[in-house]
Amino acid sequence: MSGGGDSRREFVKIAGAGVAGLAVGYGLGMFSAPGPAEEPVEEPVEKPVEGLPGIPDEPLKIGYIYFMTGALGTYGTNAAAAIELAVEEINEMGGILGRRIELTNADEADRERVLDNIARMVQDEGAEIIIGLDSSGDALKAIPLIEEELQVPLIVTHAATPKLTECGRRKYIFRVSMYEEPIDILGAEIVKQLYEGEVTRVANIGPDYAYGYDSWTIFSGKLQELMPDLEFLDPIYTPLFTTDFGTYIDQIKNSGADLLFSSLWGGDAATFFKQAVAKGLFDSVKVYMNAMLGATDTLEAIGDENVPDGVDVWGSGRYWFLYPPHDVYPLNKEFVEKFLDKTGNYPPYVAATSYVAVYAVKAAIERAYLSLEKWPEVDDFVEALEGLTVPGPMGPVYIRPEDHQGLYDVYWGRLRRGGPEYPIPILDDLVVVPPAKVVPKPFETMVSC
Amino acid sequence: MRRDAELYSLILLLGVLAVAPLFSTQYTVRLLTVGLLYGLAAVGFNLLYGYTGLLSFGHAMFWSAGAYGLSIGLVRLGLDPLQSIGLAFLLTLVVALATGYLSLRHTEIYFAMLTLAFAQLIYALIIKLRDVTGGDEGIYGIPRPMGLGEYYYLVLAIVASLVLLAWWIVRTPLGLGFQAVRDNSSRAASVGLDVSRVRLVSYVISALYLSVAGMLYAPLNRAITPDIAFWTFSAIIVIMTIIGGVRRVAGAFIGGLIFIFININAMRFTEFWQLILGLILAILVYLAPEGVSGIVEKVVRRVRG
Repeated sequence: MSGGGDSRREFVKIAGAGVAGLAVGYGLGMFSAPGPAEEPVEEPVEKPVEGLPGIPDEPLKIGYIYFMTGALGTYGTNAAAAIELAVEEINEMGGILGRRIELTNADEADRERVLDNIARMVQDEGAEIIIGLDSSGDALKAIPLIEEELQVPLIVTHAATPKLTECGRRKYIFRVSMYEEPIDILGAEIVKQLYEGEVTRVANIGPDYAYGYDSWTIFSGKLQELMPDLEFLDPIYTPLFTTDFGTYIDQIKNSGADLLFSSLWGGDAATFFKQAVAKGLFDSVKVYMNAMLGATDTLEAIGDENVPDGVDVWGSGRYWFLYPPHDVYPLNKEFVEKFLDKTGNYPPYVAATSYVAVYAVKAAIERAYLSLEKWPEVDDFVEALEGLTVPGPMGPVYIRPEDHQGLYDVYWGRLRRGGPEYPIPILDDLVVVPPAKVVPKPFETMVSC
Repeated sequence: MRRDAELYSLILLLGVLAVAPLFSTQYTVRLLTVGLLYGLAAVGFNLLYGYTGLLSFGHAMFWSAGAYGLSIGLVRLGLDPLQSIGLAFLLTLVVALATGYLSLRHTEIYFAMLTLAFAQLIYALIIKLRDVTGGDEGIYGIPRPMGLGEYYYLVLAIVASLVLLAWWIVRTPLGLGFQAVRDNSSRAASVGLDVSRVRLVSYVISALYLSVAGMLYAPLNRAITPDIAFWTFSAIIVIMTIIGGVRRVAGAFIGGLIFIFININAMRFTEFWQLILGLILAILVYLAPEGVSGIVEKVVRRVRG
């Protein structure tokens, strides 16, 4: 452990200076964590939970749909655990305005039945709100069903394609998880701020489907704008669940790339990284940026012992369990502790985004009730979600009214060993910017609609 | 006599399906619509499998040819519905003739593997030709000019005609030819049947059935994704046909109809839904190799004495 410690510390110091420069460039502190003044006000008006007029007696049913089984099953089990946690907390407080929440669910892994299952939860089981969807394809496919047939709110918590929110105004569809574009844009900004002059050739390795292509389009597009002199190599795309990245690694090595961008995720991100370390890819690649490395399950799969010294590895994601810092933002601390307690794992991003989705439901209903003095109809509820700010583990999430996209701080962090404090590698030297700095205007996207 | 019984039971079943929406929620109507299309697919598949003796493991490619052909026409090319249907049929014929020509040189497991391979090739093409197919994100915004309630009756009318047509086909000389080739291809050849031609005709008719089902499926959800081209969907087509029973047109039809209900309810009550499906299939294969329709037949016969 201590062997490379000093050089690593040295590295961090240098990089720290760079990060500070970057932060100054943005005109904000390195951690733009909300101060104590912005701490979530967790108990609004609804203390006397019984006897509020206009509240239905039967429970409010919420349906969720994620991959619950198969190779991606942990997405669903983590999301389900977080949703259950939120529902337990709310029900313990007496429910939403005194109305208890009940859950039903479906397995997105049955690919042919995704829409039928959403219809089942709504039309057969009376779910009034749907939360979920891991796959971008599924989220896009659900648009006609949700918008025209079912007309119930769908709060997407994972699927990240810009097309869901940025390619047209949806009435009933919202997304509380950060989408791809701002993360990739910030990645490019970091390269500009920290590595200008140090890197010349940029390679990409990403999954061989829309998400991989879009991520590269955004990252390379932004980087080209910022550093026009860079040489961009032909992107490499790999099939999902690739087990041997050997030839791809050789290809990148031989290309002479010194900056490698990746949108590989989950097991693929971990497998690639371990094999890249073993094959000495980082002798030639100086900077590695993986937009999805900030996922605790991926980091666990990588393992502390596989984190090399002296390599600049950056990771991002839609939530990082150590941000906002626990000492200034207790909501995150509590969430991490409760989730750890319930599941034995540090919360991955799907946990935080699905957790905040439930609280968004609660906050929107309360907001609507304040003006209507009755339980909101669907349209009132949708209106109340627009422009709402919900405190979540990732900080306050602002739901932009135009495109229904949830916005919150975007981060990248540098990979380092977690031990002895954490059993998994962690991200450190976080570079965090508020959404206003990196999120394009509503309906503006580099991805073609 | 028994043939008539099959026709009567088909007509009875279709009659029940015609009044079913009056007593159903919108959700059940949705499932019934899918069930009708699955039933149609199973009937089409069974013309090749049950009647001609060729097990295809790639029939998802024809369902997809129909669904994608129509959707590409309507959404990407801006064609009118008739032109789009024409495009879908054209695409299906091209796929069916090409893959049929190449895979029908073999039978049994070799044929099954070839169809599987071609279907996966089609799947890969759908994933890769993103500008046309939308890749993994599929095509959404497919128009459906009526509500689900009315759409159900459109689907029912087409499915009913095609299922009855299949009932008729298997009784024509052509259909008897299918069965002759199935039972003993060398004997069929010796009485003058062009075996490879009969097989190709059966293959293409079967493909067209799947294509129509796919064409009607795309507007149901107004969106499609490539999972309808993946091999698992080909497997579903095989499974539901076996559940229903391969010996009769009505059997396959019932198989498709009930599969969707087993599928979604198994999932509703347990996360081990795949296990439940597998168990049901295993039990059927062991105890009732003639499927649900075989069980019904036996019960009817026993009741009648």
